[in-house]
Amino acid sequence: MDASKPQSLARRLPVITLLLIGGAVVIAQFPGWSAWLIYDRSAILSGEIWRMFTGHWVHFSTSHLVYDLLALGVAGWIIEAKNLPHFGWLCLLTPWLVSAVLLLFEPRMNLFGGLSALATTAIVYLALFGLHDAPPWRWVCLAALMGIAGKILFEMSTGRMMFVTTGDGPVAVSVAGHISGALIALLFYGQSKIIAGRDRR
Amino acid sequence: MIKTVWLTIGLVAIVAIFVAGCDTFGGGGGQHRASNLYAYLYSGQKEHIDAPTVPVLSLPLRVGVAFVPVDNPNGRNNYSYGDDLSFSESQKMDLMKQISGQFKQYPFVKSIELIPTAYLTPRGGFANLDQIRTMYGVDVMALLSYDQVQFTGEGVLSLTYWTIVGAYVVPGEKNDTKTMMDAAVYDVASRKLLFRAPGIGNVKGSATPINLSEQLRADSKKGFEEAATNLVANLKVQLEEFKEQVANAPTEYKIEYKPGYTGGGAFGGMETIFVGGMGACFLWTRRNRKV
Repeated sequence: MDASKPQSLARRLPVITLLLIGGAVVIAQFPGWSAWLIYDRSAILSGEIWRMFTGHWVHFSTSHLVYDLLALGVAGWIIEAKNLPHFGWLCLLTPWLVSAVLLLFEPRMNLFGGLSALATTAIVYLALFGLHDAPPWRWVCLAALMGIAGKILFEMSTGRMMFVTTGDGPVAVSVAGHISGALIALLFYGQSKIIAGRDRR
Repeated sequence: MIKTVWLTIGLVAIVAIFVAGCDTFGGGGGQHRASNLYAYLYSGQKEHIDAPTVPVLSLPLRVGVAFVPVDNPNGRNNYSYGDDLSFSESQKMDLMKQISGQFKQYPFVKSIELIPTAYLTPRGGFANLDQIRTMYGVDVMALLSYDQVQFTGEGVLSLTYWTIVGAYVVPGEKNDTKTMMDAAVYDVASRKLLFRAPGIGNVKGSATPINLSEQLRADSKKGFEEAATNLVANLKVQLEEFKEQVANAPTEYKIEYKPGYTGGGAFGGMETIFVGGMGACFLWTRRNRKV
């Protein structure tokens, strides 16, 4: 399925993706902001709930930032180029939902940062729609889904650690963040299909 | 009369040779300074077998660094044990600081405690380590041991150092100073050896009978310094390998995180390359009007 209109790629700017990336780059330029924006469990439970959203734009190192932005940037650009539905809502709601999952299921984790949960959501969302397209894109999307599943399984089995430091210790990979990101993509995809089915009827 | 003189000379010669032989063949004499890890951990348990367990590493780790206490003053091989003046507490502390510096470079290490040898009981074993763990709140212990022999006699001797992983045999020559240091890093709770690093120092003998004791003291100090430098270099390599092993062998180590840890999402190089490939494929299919 391809919902895109016949426009040239050059004329269609991926506005949402650029906003997502721009936000992370700006925050990285002002390290002092991170203390007010990062997901901080105790601060959130004290009422600073904006951190549930803004925390995803805080990164712990340049490589952390670059990898996350590349993944989200490419996936977001393709999604917008293909004009897949509800991408704006997906980007708006995913950070809140992922943070809610972390609050519930990762009580020992005090700080969290990074756009990788949203990047995972975007890649899974894109790949699920891509399964309806013609080969070879279909196979690429299938491989992406299998790759994401394998990545999550690997992280679950190894408790993989990112070898970056916040000055306070190591940063652990939040598997719950990635799983919830993938599930949110699945929910949005299912809902889009249901709405599309209703519209057809 | 002449016969008696010759008999006396002969007897004196035999006694002289015998007296000299006691020193030459009886081990040659020398200095031996040692603190033995195996004796500290497993003394009285010659038949011990470690049960295979999977260590649970609770990150970030709190690491303790300590020198194993000197074991038995009436030791082996007829060497006289020195009083460790050549390897003073301040030298030990300097080496422990160098080693803690190596650990500090890794984000999975939260803190390092330098533990004075006085807190370790000779032949204390893991029961003693458990006490240290409780006292200092450490998860992992880096146990440092050493063995230094200075050969002052004639002939070929050897230093045999019994480490946890096997015996080192080092041939010695007159007035040589051979030093072996060892850092064994244990997960105290599971009693598992995580990794170890050796350090060897070899100072060639240059002492003469006139300045023998002074020169030996200087050589001893130099030997410890050489071995320590070598140990720190090897430890760096072993730490890197351990880091890789922990990341890639989930069946051998279980990783947990202490409360209050920091989490994040991570895309590595491979994932990013794949997503980049997706982008290239999308462009290609778009140009060929297949998507």
